[in-house]
Amino acid sequence: MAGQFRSYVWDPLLILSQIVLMQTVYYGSLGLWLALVDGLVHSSPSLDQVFDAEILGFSTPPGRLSTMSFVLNALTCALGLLYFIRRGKQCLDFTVTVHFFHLLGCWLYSSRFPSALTWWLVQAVCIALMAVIGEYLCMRSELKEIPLNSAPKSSV
Amino acid sequence: MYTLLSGLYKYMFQKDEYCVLILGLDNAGKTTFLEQSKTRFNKNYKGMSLSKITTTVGLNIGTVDVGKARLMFWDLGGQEELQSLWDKYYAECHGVIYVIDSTDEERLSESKQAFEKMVTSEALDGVPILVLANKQDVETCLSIPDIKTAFSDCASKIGRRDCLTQACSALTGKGVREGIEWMVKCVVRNVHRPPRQRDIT
Repeated sequence: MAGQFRSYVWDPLLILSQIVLMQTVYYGSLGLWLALVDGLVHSSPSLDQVFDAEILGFSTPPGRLSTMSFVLNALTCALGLLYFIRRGKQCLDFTVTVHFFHLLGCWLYSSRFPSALTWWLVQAVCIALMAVIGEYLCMRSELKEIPLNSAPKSSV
Repeated sequence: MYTLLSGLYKYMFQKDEYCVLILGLDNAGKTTFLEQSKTRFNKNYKGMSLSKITTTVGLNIGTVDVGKARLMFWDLGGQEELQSLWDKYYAECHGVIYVIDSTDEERLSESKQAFEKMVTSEALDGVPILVLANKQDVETCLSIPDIKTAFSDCASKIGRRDCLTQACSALTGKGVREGIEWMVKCVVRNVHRPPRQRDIT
């Protein structure tokens, strides 16, 4: 898509579909990471690992594995920001939105508000990682030069 | 989500923008009228001293919010040389305020000619026109009926559009609010010229 000006106009449909897409990317890649990690240690994957706030932590082995998956997931989601949001200024917005919906998901799944301190800590670290890395990647692509004419460059 | 919600907020509360031309011969009081309406409608606006207004070269711009509408005034210079610039603005304006100097009987016919030329312009078809008989604070001024008589043969050229002749005094502010409120009512009602669309960013 290089070489194309994309002026920013408020487009609710685009933003809504970006939110849905980011949520899918988030759970998709989190599922992949969890499956990978579970496969390595031969434990059975479960939905609890995604939505149960009590599991996350550093003291138990499964907690450590989930935490690791969440942190790795933040990195892949940063790639999602690069490919689907592509605006540095909106990275924090979409990151917080994804985690907000994840909070709602956890709340609904275990039917109580997540109160574990480690859960909040891990989420905060994930938000920070995803937003900062995503913004850095987006800024790098935003700073690319924009060729003004579509004609092939003459070789000098 | 923040972008979505802030865009939604702007979408709901954005004001419709209308452009209004202020035309008339030189020394009719167009800039004074603009300054007066800016002081009347914008609470925080400290107007410039009305006695210090001089000839307009180019144009003055003013923005006034009335209810849900936002009027952008383009106050063009009225000197003969500058009148040739008026028609460049016709296609994009939503309303015209034509200011007449009621104390200047000698130039009334000149003003009428300029008015006729403007009113017959095709680019202004269907645009509401507010005729302001300015300087009504001066005792020796012409009254509204006098001016209407002088402009009577323009009546057929006005055609099917909103047109109001309003007595006013830009210096004291009499009639300014009534005129602008009438103009807002007309530009909002005029379906042929919808308000300027502004992108939400």
